Amino acid sequence: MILEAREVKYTYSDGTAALKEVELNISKGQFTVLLGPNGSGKTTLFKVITGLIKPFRGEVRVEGRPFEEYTKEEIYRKVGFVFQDPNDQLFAPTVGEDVAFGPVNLGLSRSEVELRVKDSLDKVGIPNLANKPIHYLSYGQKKRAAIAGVLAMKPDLMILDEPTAGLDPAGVREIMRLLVKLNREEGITILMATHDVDLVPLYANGIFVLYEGKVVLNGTPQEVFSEKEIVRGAGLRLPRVAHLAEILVKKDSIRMDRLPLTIGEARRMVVSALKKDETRYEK
Amino acid sequence: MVKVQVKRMIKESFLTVDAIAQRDNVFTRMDARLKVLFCMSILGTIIVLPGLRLPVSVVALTFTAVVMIRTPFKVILARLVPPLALGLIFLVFMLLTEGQNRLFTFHILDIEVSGYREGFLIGLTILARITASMAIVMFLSVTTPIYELGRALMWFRIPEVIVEILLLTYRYIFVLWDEGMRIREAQSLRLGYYVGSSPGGWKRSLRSTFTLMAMVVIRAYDRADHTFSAMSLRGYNGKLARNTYGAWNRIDVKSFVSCFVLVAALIFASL
Amino acid sequence: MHIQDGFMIGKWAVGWYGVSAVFAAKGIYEIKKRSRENQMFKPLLGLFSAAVFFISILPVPLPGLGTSSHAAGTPMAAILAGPFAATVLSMIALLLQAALFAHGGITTLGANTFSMGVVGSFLGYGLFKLGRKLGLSLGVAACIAGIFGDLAVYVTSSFQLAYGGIHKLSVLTFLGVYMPTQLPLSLVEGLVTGGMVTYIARVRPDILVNLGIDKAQK
Ligand SMILES: Nc1ncnc2c1ncn2[C@@H]1O[C@H](COP(=O)(O)OP(=O)(O)OP(=O)(O)O)[C@@H](O)[C@H]1O
Ligand SMILES: [Mg+2]
Repeated sequence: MILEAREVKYTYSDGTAALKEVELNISKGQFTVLLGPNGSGKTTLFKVITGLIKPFRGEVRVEGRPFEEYTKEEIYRKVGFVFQDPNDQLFAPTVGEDVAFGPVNLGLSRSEVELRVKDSLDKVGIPNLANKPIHYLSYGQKKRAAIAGVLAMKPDLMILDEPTAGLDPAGVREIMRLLVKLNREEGITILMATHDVDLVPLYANGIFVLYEGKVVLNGTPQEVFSEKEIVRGAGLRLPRVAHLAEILVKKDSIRMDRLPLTIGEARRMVVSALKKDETRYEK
Repeated sequence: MVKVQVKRMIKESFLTVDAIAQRDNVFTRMDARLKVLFCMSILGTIIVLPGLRLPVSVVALTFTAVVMIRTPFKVILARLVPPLALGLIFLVFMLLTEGQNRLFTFHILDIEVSGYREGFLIGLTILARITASMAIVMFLSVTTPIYELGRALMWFRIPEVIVEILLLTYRYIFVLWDEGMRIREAQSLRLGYYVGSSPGGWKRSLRSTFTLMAMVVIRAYDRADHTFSAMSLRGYNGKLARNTYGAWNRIDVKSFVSCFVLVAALIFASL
Repeated sequence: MHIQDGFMIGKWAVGWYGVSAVFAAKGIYEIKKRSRENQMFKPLLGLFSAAVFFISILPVPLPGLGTSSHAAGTPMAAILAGPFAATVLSMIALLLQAALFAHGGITTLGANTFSMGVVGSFLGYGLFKLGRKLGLSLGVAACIAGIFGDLAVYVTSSFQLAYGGIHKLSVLTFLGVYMPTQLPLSLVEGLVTGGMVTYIARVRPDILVNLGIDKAQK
């Protein structure tokens, strides 16, 4: 387990109980999605597990050891956090300087810093923007630059708060592909928050559903979305494809052995269901 | 929650100047330290040396340079007009009030108005100095983005804190400007600003104005909180900017010498 | 209107740099000290500096006239950041304004920093504190700070111009030129400053409390 949270509770000073007994465990190399509607506590949970705020109760463990046992620097090297609004994170005047900020603070040599900057920008696909002022970047480029800044710290676990919010469909796809690539090729464990249910089945191995400060469901996409009532009760919905399949099963009595979550799965199931139908007619 | 990426608002003058400084040309490629050194020494000399020749040649030189890199005429004009107008008013004022040697005299409704030589000379000198200083600063700002200026200033031992805050300010002006303009647009749509001059309209506009300003201050505060968090997670230890020139990154000798020669020639020619 | 490059003779320009440098040095010292106590202080100043810059380029409506001018923002900066830090913020704002749209100048940066960042912010801050001590509300105290903080900037500029130029014009001449436009503008500056502080106190009282401007409500 690279990250565990046990019975984490957090209440804001105005009395809002944002987290009530949250349990989370993420094993190394996973691509996990934290799914929850607005105000469910996703950002608050991320602040707790990155150490920005201290939980009232409960415990966070990184690689089996309690959070408090680490020095700050050890934590930065292990856990990276990409903020929802890239403007919050990108404070230096140019992309290169911003990406260099973390490595410089780690006390790396000048050449090592340069190397990391180049490497990170290459990985996120914007190697040509190193000297570009941040305010001339598009929103998608800003997101990439923000990810590069965290990547340059070489974290084992990268936490991203709604990395796809505010992007157009092509931008969403590109960022998600980038994250999958980082997960598979660099071996970085990914934990991202979103409320976009259609996105989840395509990329995630594991899902935690957060609702009103509690984890109400967790498991693989298959497991989670088969609990239709709980998903709907948590202010979310099924992926469109799954919803369509549900209707096909109910109203058109097409038989499917399990709920398809992606377009590809649905196509296979519908095609095979239709083939069975055809063979029935022919007989 | 989905934030729509709003297209860039009206290009205000600071946005334009910044954009021009980003372009690639002979002068933007020059070492910022050299440009700062060059412009500051010229500026200092203009203020210290008497006479008209230096300011006039500086104006000629910088205008050629600024036009050469195709700075839009509108930008030049926008910068030129206010200080020039001020200088002209001053010139007229001085001409009519100071000195003994009359240049001319005429009457308006029985009031005798005369222009004096001394006043004219002083006014002209000031006008020339204003124009020349404005031209040289304009040259610097259309060829050097603020962040390069900041780095150069740090190299010249301007206190780090100043440069750090300068760079943060520069970075977030654009963000706050976009946010502020979005709020302003939303306010205008709900009739928040009154065009005209009725007292009621003025009050409403005033209320919208300070509300907008306060909202921007609030956003700035919250953003500082987020930015600080983001910095902390990347190991912020109280230091934001760093000297990117390095100990061995010397100013190119050839450009330095040519700049030096140019400044010397300018000063010599005007003595 | 800040003093342009070219108006002031060399030795005065240098002299004002010297005077302002003293205050700026104290400001830098204080910023460093406060950042050590709370590392958020520097990013906060950066953001406030950007906000004040925004405020100072935003047009404000003037009664009667359809046209708008713009506020100086210094009293607000002083209220938010304290007078010494505000000196540094003013210096930065003036540098940016000189570079980006030729308001003020580089050689006159010292003089302008003194009028705006020293006189304007100290008077503004002092009046705000005094007003609060005398039991005035946040808004009224900020309004008074805004009016006189703004006026002080232009009175100081008039003196600087009268004694630092290569002409023989008197302070009265400059005051005569400045005041007709600055008097109404300073009133507006006051209203805007008061309005801002009141608005912030209403919707986000925590900010004023955290900055030590207002006491927490029990
Ligand atoms: N600084 C704060 N002070 C008080 N309450 C807060 C604060 N930040 C968040 N909250 C409250 O805590 C709850 C959880 O908020 P949080 O931002 O963690 O949700 P979220 O899942 O990230 O939502 P979103 O999808 O909108 O980003 C909400 O009810 C919110 O109003
Ligand atoms: Mg959130």
